[in-house]
This record gives sequence, structure tokens and C-alpha cells, in this order.
Amino acid sequence: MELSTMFSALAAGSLNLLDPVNLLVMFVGVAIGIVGGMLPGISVVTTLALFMPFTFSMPATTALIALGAVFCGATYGGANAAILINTPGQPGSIATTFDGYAMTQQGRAEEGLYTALLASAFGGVVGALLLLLFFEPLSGIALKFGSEAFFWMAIFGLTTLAAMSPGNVMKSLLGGCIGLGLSTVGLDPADGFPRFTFDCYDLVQGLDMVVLMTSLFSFSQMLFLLESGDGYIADLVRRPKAFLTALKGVWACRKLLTLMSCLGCFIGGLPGAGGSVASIITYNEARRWDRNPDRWGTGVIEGVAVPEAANNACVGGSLVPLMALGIPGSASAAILMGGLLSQGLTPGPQLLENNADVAYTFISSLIFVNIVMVLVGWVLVKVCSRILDVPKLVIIPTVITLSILGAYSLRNSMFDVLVLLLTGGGAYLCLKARISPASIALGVVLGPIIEEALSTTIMRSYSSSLPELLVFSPMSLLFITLSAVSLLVPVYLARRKGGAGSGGSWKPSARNVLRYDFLAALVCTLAGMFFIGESLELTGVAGIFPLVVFSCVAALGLIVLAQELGKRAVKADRVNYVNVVLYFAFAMLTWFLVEPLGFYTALFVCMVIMLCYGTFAVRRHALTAGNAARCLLLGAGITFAEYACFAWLLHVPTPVGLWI
Amino acid sequence: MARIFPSALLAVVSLLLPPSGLAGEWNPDKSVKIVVPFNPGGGTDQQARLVEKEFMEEFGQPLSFVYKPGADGAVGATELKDYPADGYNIAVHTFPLIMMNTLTGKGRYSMDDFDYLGISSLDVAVLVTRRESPLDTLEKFVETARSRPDRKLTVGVVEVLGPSHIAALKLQRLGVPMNIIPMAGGAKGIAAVLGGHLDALMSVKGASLNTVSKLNVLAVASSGADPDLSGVPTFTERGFPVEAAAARIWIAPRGLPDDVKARYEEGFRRIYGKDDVKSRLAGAGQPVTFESGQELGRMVEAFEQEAGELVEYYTATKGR
Repeated sequence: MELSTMFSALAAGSLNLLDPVNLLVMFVGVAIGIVGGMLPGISVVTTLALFMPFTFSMPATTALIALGAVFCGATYGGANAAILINTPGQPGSIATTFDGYAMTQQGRAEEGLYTALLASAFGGVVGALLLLLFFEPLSGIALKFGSEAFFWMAIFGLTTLAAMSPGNVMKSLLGGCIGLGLSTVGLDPADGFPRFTFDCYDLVQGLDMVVLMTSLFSFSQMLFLLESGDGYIADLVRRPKAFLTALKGVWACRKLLTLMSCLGCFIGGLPGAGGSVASIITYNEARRWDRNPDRWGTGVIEGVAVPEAANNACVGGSLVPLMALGIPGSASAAILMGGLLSQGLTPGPQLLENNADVAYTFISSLIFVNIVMVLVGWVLVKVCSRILDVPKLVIIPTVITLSILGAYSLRNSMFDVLVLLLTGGGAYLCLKARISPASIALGVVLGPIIEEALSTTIMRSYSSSLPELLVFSPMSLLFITLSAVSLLVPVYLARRKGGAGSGGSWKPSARNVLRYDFLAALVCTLAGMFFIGESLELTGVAGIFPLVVFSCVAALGLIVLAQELGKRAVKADRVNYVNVVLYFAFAMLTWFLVEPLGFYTALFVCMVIMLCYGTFAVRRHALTAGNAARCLLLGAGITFAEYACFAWLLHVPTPVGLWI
Repeated sequence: MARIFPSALLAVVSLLLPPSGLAGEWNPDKSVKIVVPFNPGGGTDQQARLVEKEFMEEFGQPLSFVYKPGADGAVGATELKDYPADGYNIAVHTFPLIMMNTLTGKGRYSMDDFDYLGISSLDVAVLVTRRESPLDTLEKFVETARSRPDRKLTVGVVEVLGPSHIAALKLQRLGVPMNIIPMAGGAKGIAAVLGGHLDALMSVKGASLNTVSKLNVLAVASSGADPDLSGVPTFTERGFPVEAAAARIWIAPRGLPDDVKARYEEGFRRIYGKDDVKSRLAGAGQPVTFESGQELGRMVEAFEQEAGELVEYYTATKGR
């Protein structure tokens, strides 16, 4: 299209935005999106899908503006929970937890929240501008990515593991492989047959990524918070100039952010990649090219800003293939495409020719919506940061019940709730063995992408040769080199720095055999070996990826075992495990109570039990009628709020027992 | 004109009829639960969401959506089978996928567990290559495929044992050697064929129309010429009897009382006869082709044996 016609179309589109109804829709959409993205277990896709029916009765332009606003808001919203309670609201915010939560622990929560907000808006604007200006060439480059390139790109994302927990590379690699292993349960992507289901029908649907994300972060994090005796998650030091500090911080790294937003936008434009991959890769890249990579993870502004900017730049990116080719770049873009289609608009090259006004209004709304997002987000940050003023023992039951609700609402499945609770417990056990849940999450997110690309590549290679396609094609060579650099540099750096300290003292000691870390690694190794056997029974392409993954689990397990054997005993902190076990039991109790009592009644009962236990047993308040009534009222209030949100707003049907 | 007239007539007739059927007929007196066995926002979900308003007008009660995605729709169908057959539980699904799931161990149900209420739309399989490809006719495609059995053409399909996969398997059984590669969804498939990573793609019409300006459509797997794809031959008329389509279907647990079943069929016929519904669904790439429950029953019966053979053929030839 001519540049001048484009600008006039754009100007007309921007004028449409000033319509009061469109403005209102933008504010409401952003607010709904942010809240949806923030809640654990409700991903961007779910938020969009649940909001979609409301747009059917709107005119086409308004409907698209609304969906775009929800999309942007939800993509950013995940950061709030990631920073405040270390539980990313959606997979795109995993990388934000690394530095964001560190900031919260230092009392800089507000600064972190504002940074995420501003960086998200920044990335969102860059992404939308790139969409506007370059969508045709971008989509052309995106098409060059065949399955072999996707495979290596995801492997490249996986190499972030090596940098994630310095000094313990093997353990984070082990965690990543466990995550990859979890992602293989269910139907295999090649032939569509069930595997690793052990005749349990519920497992055929696989372990949902969002459920696992909720369990790995929200649930296990809540159990972890119970360990310490502090009354609050972290101290919030209110600084009057937090917003300004964040603004200055974001402005100071504007060059880095622009670069990383462009990268994020590009990754978002690849069909099938998305915010999670973009934020992980950009975090790792920005960290690697930093003068002092070690400061990352300790609460630096860039650590929050880069992944958030890239994540939101993906919004524009994922619309590139949609606008240029009519192909949705992500699950969220697919829902947006549904919105376009149901309005009678066909996405693709025809859209800009036949409905240029609608298309340009939509694209300019994506730029404008980021400004609205700063306004709405600013208010919500004020509200959200109050979470830190709430006693920990009130937050924990709330987040646990919210996670249960979120996990349930994804597929209306009580089995998913069970998966949430059990894998959450497992994730806590891994956490105690210093295998970070974030590394497992990385595996869970990238596993399906890697396997799908691998099996497609293997099948394509039947018509040529596998080495030629998977190793010696230009795209493959590029990403293989990048991955090798990314994997080896941190290992090399760690060796050079800590070489004298840890290398020389390796003395195996039989006493270590009984230590928890050793036993945990042993369990992982044995499980890996068991699943190697199971994978060997699978036929064809379906068995290849699991075989490789579980061999890695077993091999890495053995390496970790050897490391553990030679470790000097470290004095462990005294931790109150009774509370952790009890709260886990309370959460399990909810699962058992749902059928006889009804969903919300069960949530209410367990919420009150947790609140009472917290008040009387943990905080040792006096056992008075007043305190008991406070617990009861608080439990009723929170459950009611959850009920209002999920039953009325989101129309999630829940099992009924004695009562609702 | 000949195509518009019957539908216009139907619309007029439906306007003349009382909106909620005849007196004494069964009608729901509370909301009807609809199981959507796929993710919200997908094609099957849209099929139901786009007539949500009309359902309310027709039956006087709203639909209450229950999403049960998982295992290509098998989880939702398995769940529906155990719901009471009282008219308050229905589902929207996709045929033949719902049947294929029973043959691959994904679903714990059989087709006898359901009553059929009707078909609302058909999506036929189409064979496409990218514009730049030298394989721009079916003849060239077949010729090239047969000339290089050792380096087979890579042909993507968009869903394991979905209509496109069935069409590809049928074509292969007719002596066109191919390397059939299941892609994870229509979008990935189209991207791969546009990028030149696949020689061709067996897709469905609904997923390809957006991009049709960048594609060659070689053939369509329907019985007659397709109105949306003028000038595109059918496989059958070029000597390859390959027909495959995905049907969006409405089902209920088996054992629905006769009056309830008849009421639903009549109601859906009226809903899908409305002009604005037709144009809305056509705009969403799912043009209405309404067929009765009996017709669906006949389709299921007719396909039963062939489905078994195809699955057997597929498991015997995959990975080769």
C-alpha cells in the first residue's frame, strides 16, 4: 500500500478511536484483561475466549477494539502477580519473576510494578508500530521458519536453563528435562495416539500447560511461603517517587528495550511461538550481553523491563501473520481471528484492501490502547500493591483457592485440580532439592513446541535426509551455533570464577547418601529410567522425543547424584514443615469435599479451616468468639468475591453437591 | 438465484410460523447445558456461539456453555455420554473426528452412545500448493508424486485422522504415493506450505479461504463443484474418487424422548434456515449446510466400515 494512503487511513482510524463508546470499551477491556491476566490459572487465551461472546453484539470496529484491549491488558497483567507473589499470572511472565520478585523482597515492589507497566506499554507500542509498518516483510521472514528452525529456536530458549541458577547448572538442566517429560503425557503430536496414560482415562487429555504453570508457581510458592514465620510476604516501603524512578529506569534502557521489543515482536510473529518463548529468550539475551550478567536476578530494572516489553511486543507480532496471511500467530490471535470472522471480516491480505477502515482503526487502537493501559494499570498498581499489606496467612488460602478455581475453569475438570495439587506438592519437593520450579516450567512451555517441530522434521526427512534437514540447513546451523554459545558461556564463566572453590573439594561421603537432595535426585533418576523403558515400548516417531528426554533425565540425575555425594553438609535452616504439610492436606481436603458439598461450599470450608488454623495455631491469637467470627466472615467474603467473579462474570459452571 | 430462493422461502415460512413451535410441544423450562469438546474460540465453539441468540429465541431458554476440551474432542464426548438424556444436555462436535476417536483409543464411547440432532455445516477437504509451486494442477501433482516414489512429495494434513488426513489417506490408497505429515492445526499447515517447507497441503476449505490468493487449489474432495471455489475440479471428476468433509454436528446422549428429539431437529432446522444466521456463518467461513439427524445417522453408518479400514491402513503405513 502507498505510504500516503496508509497514513490517511491511519489518521481516519485514529479519529474513530475518539468515539466515546470506543474509548469506554478500551478502558473496560484493558481493565478486564489486566485482572484476567493477573489471576493464576487464567491465561490470556482464556480471558479472551471468555470475553469474546460479549463482543458479538457490538459493531465490528468496537468489537475489535475491545478484543485488542483485552489482549494487551491480559498480556501485561501477568506481571503483577509475578512481581508481588512470585506467581506469574500467565506463561509470558515467567521470566519477570526472576528480578521482579527479588525487587519485592527488597521492598521495591511498587518500582517493579511500575517498571513492568511502562515497559509493557513501551513494548506494546513498538510491536504495534512494527505491525503497522513492516507486516509484509516480517511475515515473509516468518514463513522461512520451517519445523527444523522451530526445533532449534525452542532448544535455544531451553539453553536459558544454563544461566538460570548459576553454580547449579546440572540441577536446572535436570529441572528442564523433568518439565519436558511432563509435557509428553497425553496424545503424541505425531500420530495422535495416547501415551504414558497408564490406563487412566483422565490422562489422555494430557497435563495442561496452564494448570502445571499454576501448580509450579502459585501452589508450590504458597507452600514455600508457609516456611518462614514472617507475618507478611515482604515489606512494602512506599516511596513517593516510585513511578518516577521506574520511568527513569525504563527510559535509561530505552535502546535495549527497543531492540528486545523488536526481537519479541519477531518471535511473536512466528506461528506457534509466543509470549512465553519471546520473554525467556530476550531475558537471556539481554542478560548475556550485559557487562555484568551476575547482577541479573538480583532485582535489576532491566530484568523486569526486558521480558515484559518483549512479551507485550508479541501482541503486535502475533497479528503479523494474521494480517498478512490470514494465519493466526498464536492461540490468542486465533481467538481474535474468530472475532474478526464472526463479524464477517476475513483476516488476511484481503482485509486491508476490502475493509481498510476497520483494519487501520484496529491497528491504531493497538498503539493507543497502551496509553490507556498505563492509566488503568497505574490505578491497579496502587490497588494491587496493597496485597503486601495483607497478612500472609490470608493471602495463602486466597491464592490456593483461586488456583483451584482457575485450574478447574480451564477445562471444567476436577482431574485438573488434582493435577494442580499433586504436581504443586511435587514442585515444592523439587524446590527443597534446589531444582527450581521455573526450570521445570521452561521445559513444560517449550516441550510441546520442541516435540511437535521435531516429529514434523523427522517425518519431512523421509523425503530427504534427516541430517541435511535438521543439522545442515542454514536456519538450523544458525540456531545450533547460538544455542552452543548460550549453553557453554555460563558454564565456562562459572568454571573460571568458582573453579578453585568447588572443584578441589570433591570428596564422596557415605553420609550424604541419606541427605534429602541426594534422595530426591535418586528418585528423579529412577523415574527417568522407568520412563526410558516405557518410551521404548512406543512405536514410530511418538517414542523418539520421550526417549531422548528421559535419557537426559536419567543421565543428569546420575550427574547430580555424583555431585551430591561429594558435597559438604550444609547446615539447613530450621523450617516449620508441619504447617506446609497441613496446608497441603487442607488443599487436598478441598478436592475431596467438592463432590459431597459443592464447589464453592468446599472452597469456603477449606478457606475457613486455613484461616482459623492460621489465626489460632500459627499466629497464636486468643481463641475468642470475635476472632472466630472474623475468620468466618473473611472466608465468606473472599469466597463470595471468587463466586461473583467466576460464576457471574465468567460463567464458569461448577459441580454442585449439597449446595453450590 | 436458484440457491437463494429456497432459503428465502424457508425464511418467509419460518417468519409465518409461531416463534416457539406449536402448543403441547416439548420446550425446555431451564437453561440447556451445551458441551463444547474443544477450546473456546475454535471453529466448533463458534458454530454454537454464533447461534446462541437464535437458540434463546427459538427455545425460550439460554444455552449454558461447558468447555471440555482435550484429546481432540474425545474427552467431551466421553463426558456427554454419561449425562442424562433429558433434553437439557446437548453437545456440538465434529464428524468424522468423533468416530475416529473411538477407533484410536482416545474416546471411551461408541457412536451408539449418542442421538443425532442434525448437521449444521460441512467443511470439505482441499488440496493446495503455494502460488510459486510448479505443482499447480492435480495432474502435475499426481504425475510428480508417481515419478519419485523414493523421494515422496511431502503433503501436510491439518489434523490426525481429521477430514484432510482422511482425504490424503484415500488418495494414497488410490495409488498416489505421498509422505503424509500431520501438522498441528490449519494455521501451521498453511504457514509451512506457504514457506515452501511442504510440497503440498491437504487442508479444509474453511481454513484456506483466507489465504486463497497465495495458493493454488488443486482439487476439492466434494461430490460436486464447490460454489466458493470456482474452476477448481473435484478429485472424483479427475478420476480419484476421494470425498471427505468435516461436519459440525449436534448430538445428545442416547435415549432422548422422541418428542424432545423432534423438537430439537425442528428448532435447529428453523435456526439454520434464517438468513442472518446463514450470512453470519458464511462470513465466519462455515457456510450452513443443514441436514437432519437421520441423515447424520446414515452418514455415520455409511462411513463406519471405511473408517475402520482407514485407521488400519494408517497404522500399517505410518512412518514409512
